[in-house]
Amino acid sequence: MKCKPGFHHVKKHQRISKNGTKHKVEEHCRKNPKSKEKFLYRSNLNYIYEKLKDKYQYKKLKKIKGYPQDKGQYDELIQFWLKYWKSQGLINEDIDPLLVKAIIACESSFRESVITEMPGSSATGLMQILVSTMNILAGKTSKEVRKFNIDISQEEAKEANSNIAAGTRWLIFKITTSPWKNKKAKNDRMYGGVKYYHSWNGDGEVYADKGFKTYNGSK
Amino acid sequence: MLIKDLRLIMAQNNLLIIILLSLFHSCTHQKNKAQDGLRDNVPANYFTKTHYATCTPNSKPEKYKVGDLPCTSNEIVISSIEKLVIKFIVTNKNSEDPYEYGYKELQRYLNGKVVEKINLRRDGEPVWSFAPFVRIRKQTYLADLDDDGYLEFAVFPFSPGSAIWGTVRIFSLKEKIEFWGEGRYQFEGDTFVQLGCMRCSKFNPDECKKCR
Repeated sequence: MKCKPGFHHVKKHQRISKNGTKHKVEEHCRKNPKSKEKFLYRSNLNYIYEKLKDKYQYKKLKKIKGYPQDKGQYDELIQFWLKYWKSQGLINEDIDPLLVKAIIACESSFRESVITEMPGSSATGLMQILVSTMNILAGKTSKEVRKFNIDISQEEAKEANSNIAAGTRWLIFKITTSPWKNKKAKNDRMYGGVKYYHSWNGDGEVYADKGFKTYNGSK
Repeated sequence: MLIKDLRLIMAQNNLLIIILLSLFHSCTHQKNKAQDGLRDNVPANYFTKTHYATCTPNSKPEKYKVGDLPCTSNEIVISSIEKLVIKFIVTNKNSEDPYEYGYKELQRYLNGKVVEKINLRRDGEPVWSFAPFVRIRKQTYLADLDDDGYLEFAVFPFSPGSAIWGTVRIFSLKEKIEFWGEGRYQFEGDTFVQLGCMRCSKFNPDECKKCR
């Protein structure tokens, strides 16, 4: 189901009134509580994409080399969410959608509902988003994401639209808050974002090197 | 007769080679498949199954699900008069900028009064605003790592990415709290701080052997 931002989806359920009468309540969109007025849920992400997708123009992105699974099936979603977040003022500069595609290649090899094999980890879907990341995006663990909070479950993160919406939101958050954000060269700022998209220690750089190698090799 | 036997032996050898080759091929294929570290078939209860972790000796097992951060705390009681607390200090509650919004502070209490404060935010770091204490050794938040008579404890500035390993900051509880070093911590799971394996990841699998 799709709901306008500001509303959330309520599943079909049974309500028991005070006198004990049972009512069937059909699924519907309900207004968000004030504390979560501007939160975006899966139903909102679907609504935004369906409503606004015709507003933008999309190009066919180049294929990521070494990944035959890339059939261009996510090209439009990637471009849509990058354009949408930029239009909402989350970032001032364009992110190359091919870079996001390279991240998807490294993270999940374009497998939509894939889950990591690392024991105990919850990294899920195309952009391998963790539950911990979800909790931060939804303002549950901490308050560092101060606007455009996204609240989706891990099950919902297996869907391409929710995953790319949340993943690109998180990547933009990392680009705009990483210590590399003030670097002169745009490429460095992007590199910093990709590094911190993975982790903030040396592993992040190994990851960013791999991501950029994939990206540059596919340009 | 001899030629017939030789042909039979050769045929057997060829068959053996073919079997060995096919076995080798299937092994390497499986190895490559496993090496990407991902799985398509996930048990239905993967996200809802409850796990248990015993955070401290004799404590009640703490319930957690995949993705939760079990065994973290915002307070360590050292003695009846001394404790360590991590608090979030809000500097500008209306700001949308996470740097301006506030920071985490480590506070040392003695007889109910704050005697020492340490700003946990350091220059050149990514944004984070959640930093709990994590177990420095199995089931304990305090341990003397270097046998110098002073206890160490670990704080985990939480800035997740798609990796589940993070860097913890270790402090030594001396007359004044001193920075001791760094360690690795797998924040999604029931573990404690790992030392000496800072570069373990799926990109450096050999490094992981040092810390497991």
